[in-house]
Amino acid sequence: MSVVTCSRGAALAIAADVRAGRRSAVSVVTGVIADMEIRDTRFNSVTRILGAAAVAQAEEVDRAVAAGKDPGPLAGVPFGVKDLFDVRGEVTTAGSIVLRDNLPATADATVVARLRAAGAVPVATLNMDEFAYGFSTENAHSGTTRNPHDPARLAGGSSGGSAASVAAGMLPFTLGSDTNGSIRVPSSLCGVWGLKPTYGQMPLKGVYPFVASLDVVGPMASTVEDLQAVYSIMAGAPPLALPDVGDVRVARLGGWFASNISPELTAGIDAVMAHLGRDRVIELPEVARARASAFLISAAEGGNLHLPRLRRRAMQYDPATRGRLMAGAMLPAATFVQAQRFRRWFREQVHAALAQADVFIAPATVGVAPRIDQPTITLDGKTVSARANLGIFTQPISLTGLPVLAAPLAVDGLPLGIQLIGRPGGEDRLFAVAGELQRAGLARCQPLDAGYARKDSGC
Amino acid sequence: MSSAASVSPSAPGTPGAAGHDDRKVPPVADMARIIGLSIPAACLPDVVANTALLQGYADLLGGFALPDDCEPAYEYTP
Repeated sequence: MSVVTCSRGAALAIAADVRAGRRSAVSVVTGVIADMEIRDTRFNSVTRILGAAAVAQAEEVDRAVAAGKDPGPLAGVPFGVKDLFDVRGEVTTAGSIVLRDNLPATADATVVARLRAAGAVPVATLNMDEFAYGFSTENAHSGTTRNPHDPARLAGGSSGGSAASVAAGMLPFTLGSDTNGSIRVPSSLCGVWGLKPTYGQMPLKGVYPFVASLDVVGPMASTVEDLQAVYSIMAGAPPLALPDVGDVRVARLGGWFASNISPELTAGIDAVMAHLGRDRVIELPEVARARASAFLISAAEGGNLHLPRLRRRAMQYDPATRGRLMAGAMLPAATFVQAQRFRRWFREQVHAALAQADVFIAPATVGVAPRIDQPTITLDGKTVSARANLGIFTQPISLTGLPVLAAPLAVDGLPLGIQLIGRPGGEDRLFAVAGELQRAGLARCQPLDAGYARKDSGC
Repeated sequence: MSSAASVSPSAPGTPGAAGHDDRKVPPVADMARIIGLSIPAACLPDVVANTALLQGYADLLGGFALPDDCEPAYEYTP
């Protein structure tokens, strides 16, 4: 296992080399594509390689460099997108054959366009649970994405292809979406950095929807520096000015968030809190009902979105998705409204807790990635489906819309991840804490073999 | 149970007219018909299971009293 050690980030290192003429964008992009074609046979994280279009854009970047023009801060950096982002010229499938006859997108999703304008090059679309409805990236149409750290285990989902391709070292950063934990769960199980920005902050134009009340898009990356740079470009905002980490008040979440987790995860959070010199524990009220509300809102809105197609061609859907969407479509209005009213109540409780801390720390999952041949986890002594329950710690936070940075703990063995949960618009504090954890060696991403970094110039 | 209750259609997750607890067997066919959804027979067990799962979450949520002035969060700002 090799480690990307570039202090400025793997993606930013590529861009620096391309901008300086030490590497060509075409060589980077073609190298990454060749690497994916060879190595992804083990992981099944990629659904399409955008070869010709990617090389054409890379040639544009190289021409800009040769002409002395600014090729952008991410010049020549290859990236992949979960298969629900519009990429011009490609059909957006959302991981399903149900949409395969749609016309190709005529324009990029807004966040893809912003990255492309910054010089980054989309090179692949990535596997996901059908219509983002799941935590495992087990897809009846495109297969199961395997965890690069142990291909016998799940990568998590629904942005499993996005996490696995970073963990494998095939791509320096990717895009995912998060409704109930779909960036945070796979980031944690694959050991990569991931960000679910504040709800409503990122433009969703050109992103195939799942649950309008909860949907957010964000980046996944192998370093905090890359994650932050990509986040700022996606948001169309200037680079963040980070606060001193010593000024950030950190507390760990207790109660619901301290139950059912592995001893290694508890020890990891203990170490993080000790390093940050904080010992405050906060318990949020009614977390089980917050999770229930997110579950019900997701079912109702997802089911309603798909109802017209479920009436006509239900059998085209992934069996694992179909039953959930149908059940959700039938959910009584009284239940949906109650969930939305509870969301309002829970928001007030969370904001009261935020008066005591700027960042909450909580586990992202109960433990390491479940095995593919035994896709279950244990909750309160019961064996339950991983696909439906891996988000036990992420779903309640989704209901709040707060920003969350998924941090991979530096552990021996399979990856474990934690959530750094911030106040609305408080991504700067999350990055300050994440950067400190990375600097201190308490959190790190260890890509298997970063092919994109293989070059003659050092980081 | 009153006679009026015994002849009323049972709501999902409530004791049914037959006097047994049909909480685990939601009237999925009726619910689907109302929204114009035809559930293929092969899918029915899975839909029933998921409907029961959602009903469990709905029961959990329904057991919490919210103040009358707590509005739905349709236009949600974190």
